[in-house]
Amino acid sequence: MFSWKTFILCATFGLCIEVPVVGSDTEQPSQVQQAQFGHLVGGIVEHHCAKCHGKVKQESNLQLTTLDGVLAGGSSGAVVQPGQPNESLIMHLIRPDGDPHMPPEGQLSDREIAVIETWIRTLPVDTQLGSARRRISGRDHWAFQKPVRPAVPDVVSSDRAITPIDAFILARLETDGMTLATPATPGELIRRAAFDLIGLPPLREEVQSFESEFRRQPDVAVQGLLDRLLASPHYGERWGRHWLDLARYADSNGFEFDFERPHAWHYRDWVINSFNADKPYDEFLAEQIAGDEISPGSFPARVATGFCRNGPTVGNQQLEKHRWDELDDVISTTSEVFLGLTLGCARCHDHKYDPISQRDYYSMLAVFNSIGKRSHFMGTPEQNQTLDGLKTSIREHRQRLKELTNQPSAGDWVLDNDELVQRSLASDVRLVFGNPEWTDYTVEVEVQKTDGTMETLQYEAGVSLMVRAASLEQFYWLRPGVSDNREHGLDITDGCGHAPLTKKIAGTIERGRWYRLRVTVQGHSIRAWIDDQLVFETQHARHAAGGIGFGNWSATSRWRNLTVRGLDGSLLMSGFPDLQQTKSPAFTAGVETVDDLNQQIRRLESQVSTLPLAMSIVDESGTPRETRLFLRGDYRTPGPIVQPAVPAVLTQSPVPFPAAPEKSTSTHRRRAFAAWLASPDNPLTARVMANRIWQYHFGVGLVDTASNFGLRGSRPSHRELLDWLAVEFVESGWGIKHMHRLIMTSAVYRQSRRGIAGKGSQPKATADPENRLLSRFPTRRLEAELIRDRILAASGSLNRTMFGPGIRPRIHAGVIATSTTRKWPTIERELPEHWRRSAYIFVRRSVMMPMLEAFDSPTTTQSCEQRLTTTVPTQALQLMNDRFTGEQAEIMARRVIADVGQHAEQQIREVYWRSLSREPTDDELSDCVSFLRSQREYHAGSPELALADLCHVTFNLNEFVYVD
Amino acid sequence: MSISTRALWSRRQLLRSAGCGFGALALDSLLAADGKAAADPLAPRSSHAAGTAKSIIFIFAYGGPSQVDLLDPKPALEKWHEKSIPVFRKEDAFNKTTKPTAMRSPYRFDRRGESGLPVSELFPQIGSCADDLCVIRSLHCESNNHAPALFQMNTGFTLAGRPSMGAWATYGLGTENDSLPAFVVMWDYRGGPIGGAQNWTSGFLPAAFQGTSFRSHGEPIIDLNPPAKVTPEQQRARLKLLARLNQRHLESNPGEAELAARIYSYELAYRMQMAAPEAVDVSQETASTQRMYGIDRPISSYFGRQCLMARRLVERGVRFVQLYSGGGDQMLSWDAHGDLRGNLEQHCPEIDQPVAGLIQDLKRRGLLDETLIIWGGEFGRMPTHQGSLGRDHNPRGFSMFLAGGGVKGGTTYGATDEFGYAAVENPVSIPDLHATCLHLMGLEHTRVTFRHRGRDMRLTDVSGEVLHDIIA
Repeated sequence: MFSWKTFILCATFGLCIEVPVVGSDTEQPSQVQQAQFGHLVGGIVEHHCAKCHGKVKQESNLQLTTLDGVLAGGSSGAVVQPGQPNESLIMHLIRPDGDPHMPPEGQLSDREIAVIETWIRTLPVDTQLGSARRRISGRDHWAFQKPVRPAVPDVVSSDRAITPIDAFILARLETDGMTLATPATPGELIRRAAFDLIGLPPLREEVQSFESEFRRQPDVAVQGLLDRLLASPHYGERWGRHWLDLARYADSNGFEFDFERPHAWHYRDWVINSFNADKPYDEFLAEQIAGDEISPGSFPARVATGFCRNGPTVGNQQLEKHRWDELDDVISTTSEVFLGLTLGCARCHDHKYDPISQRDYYSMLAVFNSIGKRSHFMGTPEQNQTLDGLKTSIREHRQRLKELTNQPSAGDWVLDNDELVQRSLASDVRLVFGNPEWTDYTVEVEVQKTDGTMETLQYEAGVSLMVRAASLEQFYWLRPGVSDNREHGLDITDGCGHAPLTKKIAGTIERGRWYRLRVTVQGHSIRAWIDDQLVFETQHARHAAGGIGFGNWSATSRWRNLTVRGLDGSLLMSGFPDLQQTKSPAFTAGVETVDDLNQQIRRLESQVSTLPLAMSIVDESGTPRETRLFLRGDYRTPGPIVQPAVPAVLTQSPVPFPAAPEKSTSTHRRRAFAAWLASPDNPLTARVMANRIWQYHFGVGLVDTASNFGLRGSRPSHRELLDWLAVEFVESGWGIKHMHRLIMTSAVYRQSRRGIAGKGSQPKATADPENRLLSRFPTRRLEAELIRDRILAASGSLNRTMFGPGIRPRIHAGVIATSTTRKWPTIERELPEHWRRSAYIFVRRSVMMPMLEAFDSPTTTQSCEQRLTTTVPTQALQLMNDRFTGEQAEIMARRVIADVGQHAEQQIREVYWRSLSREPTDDELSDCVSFLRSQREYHAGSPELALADLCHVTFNLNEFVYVD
Repeated sequence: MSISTRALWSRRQLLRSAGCGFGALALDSLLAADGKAAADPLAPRSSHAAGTAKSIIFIFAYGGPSQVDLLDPKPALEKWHEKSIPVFRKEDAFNKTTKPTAMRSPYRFDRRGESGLPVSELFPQIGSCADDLCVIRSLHCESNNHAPALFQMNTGFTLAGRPSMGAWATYGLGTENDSLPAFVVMWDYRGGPIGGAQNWTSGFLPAAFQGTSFRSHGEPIIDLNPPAKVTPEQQRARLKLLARLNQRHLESNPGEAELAARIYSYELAYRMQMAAPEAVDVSQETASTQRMYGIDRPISSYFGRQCLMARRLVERGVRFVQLYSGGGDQMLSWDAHGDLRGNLEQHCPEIDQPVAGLIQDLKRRGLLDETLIIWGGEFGRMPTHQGSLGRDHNPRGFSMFLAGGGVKGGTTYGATDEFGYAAVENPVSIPDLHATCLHLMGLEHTRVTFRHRGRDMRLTDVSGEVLHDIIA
């Protein structure tokens, strides 16, 4: 339980200095007011409150024994609202049902409460509330001071300094007697730059031409390289992905049902396009917070506000709590991403470390509190018509599908030696035979699924074995591999309908494998085994009679070794009967099938998701919703009303939030907030983003807690450099590409990863163990997405199609089954449509791509400012054993052979260029030659498989996942 | 204790001074004696105090098992049957059709063991272990909805994305066996729980601490082995070339510990290919042991295998095993909205013999004292009707039991009101439970922290009191 004591402690800082923040120039209360206060209230507070809120102690930074003190308020803001006792915090606390209650022990009498109430009511409404004399420790914190461009320092080794960045870095290194490492080779440099800017490896021709140009004119060569890379559309995919981490982007809601967000991808594409267009950061930022208020007619601007919608949402309950949680997500994310402040910590109490009060949190809530979620359709009238048409069409198709699935259509079975083979892939294929008088028996049979229709349908069916089949409409059936091949079922179909007889269990049926099915029916019990594992047991069957049968839905199969035995062991049937003696629905060719319909529905749905529907926010009215401070962060204990404001510690004077224009449908509070974020007075915005850009180039930011510039964040390793970059960023017009050029032309960026000190040849690990001083280029692992992209690039499979709804590559069925929603198609064979860049993978919160997850892709529940780099065996298992790497290695081997033929050495060179963008060394060449020789022997007759083994090894190399 | 990514990193830095010795290990040598590297974030760490438990087996009865029918007998329900009980509050119920009228338990409770602990007739075998059970009857949680309540039971928070208790425990203690994952999750044959992997996530902790799903049939870990068409010889040849080329690369990049660590991770992966199938191979157990777990009977054979695998895993040093009973939703789990009897009579016999077998088997092997068994769900059920035969979710009072790991057997702790509706005596919050579990493993819950978003985060956030009264 909450106690008052903790409530107070939350507000206590360590070393504090008292600063009057706002309202130091407010008028003094009149003599009359002073006298009234003393006369009416003085005695009561002396008696009940003075121990904790008096002259000696001011818990919660509140003094109640003087009028000034009462009007000043405390850590939670104002305690009285003149003229409005019901709006006054103090009244909430002193009533008998006050929660928290004041005083902590004891209770003011009804009369005393009435006196205070009356006194508050008599206070003139325009009484100036001297805002609390807030204790602000850390107002002088470095990050809260506006950055000023520092002078570029002089350095000893000025010959190494190409840009001002180098001077700052060298100056610091030189104080420790160090300098930069030797320059990287041109090969290293182009690989590094390519992965940094576009996230894809450079081609052989690109490397070779860069190397020769670099030898002639290194600086010109680097400039040219950067121009080419920054102009590539892949740049937006690479840098957009960084932003999507920060924006906790996903294509589904999360939580229990994990509903899809079919239009979320517009935001992803907007981010990619914005980076490609080098949209100035101030605009980029403002559109994400207030695009609807800034450019109401612009579809992209509406899409941009998806930033406020990306967080996870509960789908199956509508509680008031969820609304506040979702707003908390917006406030926490916005403050962390743009300001590098953990404002979310102040939801329940004043921030423990930073000079951010609970009131600051709720003032920011007042900025966002009027928003509502909207699906904004911004199409042309024609598109609008299309949308209506599509919706109608989908409805009609669904109806037809419903009708069709209730009708039997056709089957096509043949006997092939001792096997019963189903050839047609129609929507319903049933075959019933045996003695309709049979009651208790055991049927055993082997089955193999030979085909399904998932590639067109994206749905995989299983097989079925019927027992006690009295007719084509009445039977029990064991259904291995139902529900998109994720479950096994035991169902009943009785002529009136169809229902599960018992719960489904998880399970799949692989194609091309024989399974042994066994079902025993005995009285009310049915037991079923798959491969001798008992999968179902029920006592709830009807004691009916009937033969057996097979009946598939959108899959083809082969059956063999059928026996039916009585429970005494007597053989009732062995092998298949003449097909003339079986029952089967008449086959009619040319009818519309379930497959066709499902396929059409999918096509229609994908057309809908490509229409300009934005997942966006808007204010629900031009009149702002009232915002109150919530005591302890709990919406059930509302406190005083708060007005929109920015965190007090970041401003000298209050930032104005002008009233919305007449007849406006929006409060325009977000617009004002966005303007302040990008204003010259804001000490954080530019620093935070400049630091992020640095971090994505060097792996670690100058401040290595990229979303926390507060008192508990790290101090910058090079404060002056950071300030210089921040000022440069703003003065350049917030150009992100400009920052890349500045950083990437520097000697710091162009130095080698191998830290060879100037004179000696010892690694500098001892002097700069964590490389915070950048005495060498840091070692960095490729992000999860880039590892997959690099494999696709190396094999030649990479499909460079940009934009649009997310793709869903193959995920192991066992992984899909861990999710109760199981909403991921079962893919047997991946196709080029799956081989697009990983930035386009559909991000489903409950089913993440295992390969990406293993390599530390973000969880998307909160903003991710920096990826972890863990090294664990499951990553090795993924790259060694997953079908994806094996298949891509084979594809790559075929392409290499097509390009260079069978000559081993040429193959190896080609593999090295494709996988590692360089020539192999002589040692590597000889290692690989002998490997290929023995693998060719091993795979006698298939040089392709031998080469695939080599390709597979390259995907696993350290060099493949670590950047030069 | 607190390790950050920086600290993990520093551990790798140690390798610099130690040279690159282990990076030079040829893969062929990996079957040789153990050479555990300092680079491993899962390296065993000493606890804060001598804990009694080395491992936890958390048997999660997912869906919300009914306390008043299993562990918390309420004779008053007989008297109040079909009458509205005064403590019922509409807002506690998840479902609108939930009634305020009491529904008596259809089951008898018997006093079991020397302690006379009351256990429902639905748990005849678990009841025979009564003297080893510590039943907490006063748990309460913050949500009446499955997903948030599951997340809270597993991670301490109703929102998704926080590290799970298994991840925190592994982070705190590392693992004794690097050929197996430190934190293993096995789910029900009917599927995983709502929220899936978010229930065993490492959240903001490094991915090394995430739970690994083991499958009960076939290959235990997905991608543990290459596709069938790749032969072992072929794989060995590939790995040999890989090791050789990686070694050359390492030599030209001296002092880069992360490269050496990655080479080592391949060695571990290769070892895991052998160790994981062996660890879950219950056919190595005698027929009588298998019977002890109910593997011989169809109703309990699946969960019996899970429990036996759990014992084999903790024997091999796995730190945290979580078993799910119940998968999917509604009647597939312990979520008895419509038909209490149908639900309990399905699920109880599935686990009764296996759980009892696990307790007895650990005990006879002398492992019960160092293995903490936790049984329970994300919340309990209402003592009132939903419809005419079911019970709705109840977050305000429910029961779990602990066994082994240094808890007092044959005892109960806390109590609900006379209806079994809300915890009234010694209420136990989820953070209290978490704090106690960590404590039993020798970890002080306030000291197992990780810096994230500007704060030192912990499993128990800002609360959590260790239940010293239940510790032997």
